[in-house]
Amino acid sequence: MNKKAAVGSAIAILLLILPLFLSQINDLWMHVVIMIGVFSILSMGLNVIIGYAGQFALGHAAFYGIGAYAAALLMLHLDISFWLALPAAAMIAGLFGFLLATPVIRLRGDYLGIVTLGFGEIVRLIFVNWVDVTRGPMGLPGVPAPSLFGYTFTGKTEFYYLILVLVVITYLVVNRIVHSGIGLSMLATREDETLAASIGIRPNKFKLLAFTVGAFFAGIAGAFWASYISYVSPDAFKYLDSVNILAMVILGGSASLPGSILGAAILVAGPELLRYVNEYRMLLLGLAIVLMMIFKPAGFWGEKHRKINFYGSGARKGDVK
Amino acid sequence: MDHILELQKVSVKFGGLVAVNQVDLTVRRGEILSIIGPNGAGKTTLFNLMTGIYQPTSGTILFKNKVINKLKPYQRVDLGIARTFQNTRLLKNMTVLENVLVSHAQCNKEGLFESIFSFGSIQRKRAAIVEECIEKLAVVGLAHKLDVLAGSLPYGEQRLLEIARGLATGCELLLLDEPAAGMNQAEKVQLVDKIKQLSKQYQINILLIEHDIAMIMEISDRIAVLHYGQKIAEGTAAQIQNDPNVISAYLGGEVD
Repeated sequence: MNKKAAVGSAIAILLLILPLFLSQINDLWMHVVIMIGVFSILSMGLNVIIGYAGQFALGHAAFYGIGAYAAALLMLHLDISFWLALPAAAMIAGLFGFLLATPVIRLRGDYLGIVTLGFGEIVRLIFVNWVDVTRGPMGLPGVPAPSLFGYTFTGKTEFYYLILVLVVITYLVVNRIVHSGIGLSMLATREDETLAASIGIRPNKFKLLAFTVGAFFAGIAGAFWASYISYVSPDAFKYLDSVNILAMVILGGSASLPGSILGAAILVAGPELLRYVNEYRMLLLGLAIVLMMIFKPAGFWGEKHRKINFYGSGARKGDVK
Repeated sequence: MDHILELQKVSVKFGGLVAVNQVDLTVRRGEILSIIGPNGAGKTTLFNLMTGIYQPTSGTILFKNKVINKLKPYQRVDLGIARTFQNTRLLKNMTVLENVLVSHAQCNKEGLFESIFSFGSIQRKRAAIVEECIEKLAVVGLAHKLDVLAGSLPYGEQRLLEIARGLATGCELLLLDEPAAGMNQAEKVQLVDKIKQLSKQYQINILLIEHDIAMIMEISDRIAVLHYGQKIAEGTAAQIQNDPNVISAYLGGEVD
């Protein structure tokens, strides 16, 4: 236990002082680390849908985009501060997650994948074609940066700390959700729906909940991204981004939150590290994923690392040893 | 109110096949009722009708004098009907304790905000749930295997775990679908004792499908016999053994 605490605090200190080193090297790596944070939030959200509730959803970038556009439009047109736009965008994205899930949870496996894929494309096409609101392919420039007590975030360091806080909050909240009766019920739904129904679990309720929670956090990531880049355009929410987030979840290990962060780190930093091999980098990355699927199908940080009991150690103190 | 479950002329058709035909059946409070019949007689289909996996084409199903024809399986669990499966269905990648926890009503109905925001109170509530579930596991004799993965249990213990899971739902009526299948003689004897204990000590009404006739004769207060989807006999063990319809269903009738 002490060892675990030591490792935890070492990681915490490292994350806190990281900008001191990175900003010395160059801005690019600062940006990469921030994007790792954004995709960590996205992949943790998708992990609730895929890893825990077992719903093969392929349109996660759509919720990310809805969050980004919602935050950008709220800040540009209604002059709302970032701190209000962030939860509002998350709720709007969550609402869309709920609305999408309501009809599609009747579908299973590949069929669900196809419908969510279609949803992702429809959302992107709306961003492109609803010119009156989204300015189409020209995008929405000039999304304001967040400011705190009169101090406006300008440098990458400020955004780094902001995304760090958001990732930590996301991790803590999602962790509490999945290590609870809700998480257990989601896992039961994933494993065997008929069985789940025969022990008093309403499968559709937990599928809906998973989609809503996943979309909610995608909305947070989107709102942060809009404010960070200060420009929103439909290009950032393509089908490939959904696949990328999916790959992060699978690579890191489904039903594992640290795995999702690890997956995000690998798939965001990997292409940057491989930049010097230029045109081969996507090829190498694809090869890495294929090898991964063959030799370590449960992902780098798979389910065996999850707590043996979902109720954590607290509830079991003094029980049968 | 001495009937807990009552089937009135219940039929179910799959296309042209009448799987269950005009069956009347009552489970009285405090008894162990067994359903026997040759393969394909419709015994498991009858269970699926009672638990809501199928809905009857015609007829009425009453549970505690309430019509439950249209209720979904999870709603029937809330009312107090639990079951085990003929081919064990467990969450194989989860531990024994988790398998029982997840069927505990207070566990799988935990609220979202409760699980995110409350700390002390939920910790106490969960500790109580865990304790209760360990108790149910102790009843079937699995309390020493809490952290074992359910999939790695021997077959007999998987069946016991299913029973513990049924108990954890807080059921009043427990439907056991061939609980002794795959068990050896010693395990069967223990199982009979446990089922009797559940019935007497915990006041759980038990409805049982079984092929082991010796076990049936020993355990049942009453027996119902199904054949080609129809109930051909009902009564005590002695009555059933001498019933001409039952003899002809199992051994074949006389040639005219």
